[in-house]
Amino acid sequence: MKRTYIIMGIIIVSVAIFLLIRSVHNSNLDSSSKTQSLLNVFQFMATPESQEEIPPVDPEKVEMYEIEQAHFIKEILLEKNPVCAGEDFKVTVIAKNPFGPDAHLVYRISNKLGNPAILRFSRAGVREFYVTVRDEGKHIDMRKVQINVVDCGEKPLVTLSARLHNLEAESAIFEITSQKGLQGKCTYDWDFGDGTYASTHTGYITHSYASRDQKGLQSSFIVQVKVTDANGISAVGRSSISFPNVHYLSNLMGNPVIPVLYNKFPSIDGAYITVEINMKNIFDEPIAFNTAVLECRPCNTTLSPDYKNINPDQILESTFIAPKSSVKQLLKVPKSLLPGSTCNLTITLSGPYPDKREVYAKIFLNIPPQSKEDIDTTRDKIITDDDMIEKLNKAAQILGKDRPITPQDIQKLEREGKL
Amino acid sequence: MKYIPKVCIALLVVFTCSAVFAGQWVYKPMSINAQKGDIILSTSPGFIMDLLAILGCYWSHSGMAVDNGFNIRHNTMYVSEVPIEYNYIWFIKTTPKRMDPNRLSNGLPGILTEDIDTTYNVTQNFHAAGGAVLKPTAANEALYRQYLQLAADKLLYVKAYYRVNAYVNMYQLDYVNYYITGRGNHCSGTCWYANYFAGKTMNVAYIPPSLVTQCAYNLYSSVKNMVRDEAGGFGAFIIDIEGLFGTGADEKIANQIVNTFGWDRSWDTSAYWRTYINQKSATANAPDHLLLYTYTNPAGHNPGVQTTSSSYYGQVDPLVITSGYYYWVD
Repeated sequence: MKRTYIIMGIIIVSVAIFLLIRSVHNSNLDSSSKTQSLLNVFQFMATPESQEEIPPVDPEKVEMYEIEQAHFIKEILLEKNPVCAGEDFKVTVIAKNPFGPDAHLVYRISNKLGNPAILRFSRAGVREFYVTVRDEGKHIDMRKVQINVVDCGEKPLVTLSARLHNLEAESAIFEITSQKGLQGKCTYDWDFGDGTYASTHTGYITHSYASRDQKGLQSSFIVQVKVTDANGISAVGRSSISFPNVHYLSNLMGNPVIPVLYNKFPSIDGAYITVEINMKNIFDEPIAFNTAVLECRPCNTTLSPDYKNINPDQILESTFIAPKSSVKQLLKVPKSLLPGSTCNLTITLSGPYPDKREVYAKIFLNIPPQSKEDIDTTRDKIITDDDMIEKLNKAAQILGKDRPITPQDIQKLEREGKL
Repeated sequence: MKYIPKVCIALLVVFTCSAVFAGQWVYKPMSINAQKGDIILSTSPGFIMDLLAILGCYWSHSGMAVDNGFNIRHNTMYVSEVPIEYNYIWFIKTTPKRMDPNRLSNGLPGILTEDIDTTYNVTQNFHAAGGAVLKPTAANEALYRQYLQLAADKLLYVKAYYRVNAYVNMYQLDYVNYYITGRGNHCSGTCWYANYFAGKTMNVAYIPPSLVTQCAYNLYSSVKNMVRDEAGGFGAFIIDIEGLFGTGADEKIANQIVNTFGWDRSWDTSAYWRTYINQKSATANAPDHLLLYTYTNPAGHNPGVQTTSSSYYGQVDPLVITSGYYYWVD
């Protein structure tokens, strides 16, 4: 009798396992999914129940807005057609916005944001790409474009890549990814498309577009580099880069913020924290700041920040900025205003703006810790790697021991062969 | 005399300690101007950017600050790490067949938390240039912050895959902290769900079949060009496929991705989507659709996507990264 129960039990457990595996099998047509699905089952079995039940979304109760087809695109201009394989060409979109300002259209040409854009196809054939234009949110237009790409034989060719900077806001990284038909040591003459230029001996450069005008939702630039080799032979590479104009957008969303250019590491002496700032009023209305809030974040990030409201006259010489103009001046914050052990100082300037709004300028400053007591043991990392310590000591000799050293400083010195 | 050894030991200890603490290099990590619950928008390049291209978005990625500026939780997939399946003849590996359907459909790492140094400098899932922070207006900050902190807490709990198919059907994330095959979301859908789990149902975009059709052709063309020109976010394996397959690999990969996008048919490299795409509508948000527009533009139109009642996020600030830096302390 006991044996029968045991056998029955084994059969029931076996059937249950079989059904479990089979249900997983049926839920996945692909063989490689099975292992993962079984893992899911065991994860599920091993994971405690969630602390609360949240019902799934009922789509009927979600408010929807419809994205609608619009007819923004009037014409698409190709700089050349046919084009050589590997050669860059400019695409310009002519569009009109019946639902608002043309400046509120956002462009995407193939996989490039912005208008105009530089494209390049490396393989010959009839190639196609899409142009997408949308407004602030609800309307979109798309158009397919075809171009004939042909093989043109050997000729000097420079491929320039452009990408938005991963660490520096408002900056871009330009890099020559390949150059053909050029020999020896080359010189590189850069035109950043914003009226500024540079010359280098390497095919890599970064450039800040922080002082650009922000007249719409997007700012696009065509960047060009002329590479000249040791024999005087030259070739030109182009690329395009586009920035979302977040300050412009902040105004559309009702809380205008103006761009401010400054070094995040201020000068610090016994009495003041000083930094040169350049405030740019990109809007059509004059700005007069009448309030400044100092947010002092302690070096120990587990502690709460300290806030102080002050008159902006205490830290700025000029608090007025005319429309579409800039004011460059020194910002001087008396150290007496800050609590001890402050490692981050955020200054928010604000003033009245039409339609009962406020306009803002925000400045974020790093104040490096001065003593062991200011080390944030929860986040700061004490460097113990001997190679890194040696690099930092060398970098400090070059740059000065009293200033903080950023990873970008280290990279730059390494690239220059100084570390 | 008897105190001499003790004095010597004390001096030795003091000397040793002062030698150890003569000074040291310390790294202060980067942080951003976000508070817990704020949404971070970014223009990172790659495959996801191209998925979003079809909606004309300029922000391609979004995540949520889960503390005051040191960590971001977000949902992403590394398409270059999707394994390739190969054809076999008698156990001998021959030509590449397709991208691993399971990994394409259920993208990894899915939802993860990264500190600012890692996500901006190492994985580069987020980019500083063009970045923005979505937060409540100053007037609503005191009231709304508690709800956004709750949203961040909910997101900290949730774990899920990145789902390419969520661009067509966003309603596929569960409040669980383990992976479920066939469930998950994309980046902005995950941020939407964090708010939903905290009690706020934001507006969602409906995209009619005529536009989804154009999106599908756009996506197909974009992926095909990426494969053919060895560009974009795909890894070298795609180039291997092209080299071994010869012509046609670009079409197979593009088909597989569009089939995944529209129907979650990640195993299908056929042109299935071309037959059925005209019937497909989409319900999904992209990062740009998390924005709030409260104004009437000069042409008298209100382009509102989110409204003051549908979203806690009323203000956009340019992203600021406080540089990470090494400092010396004596």
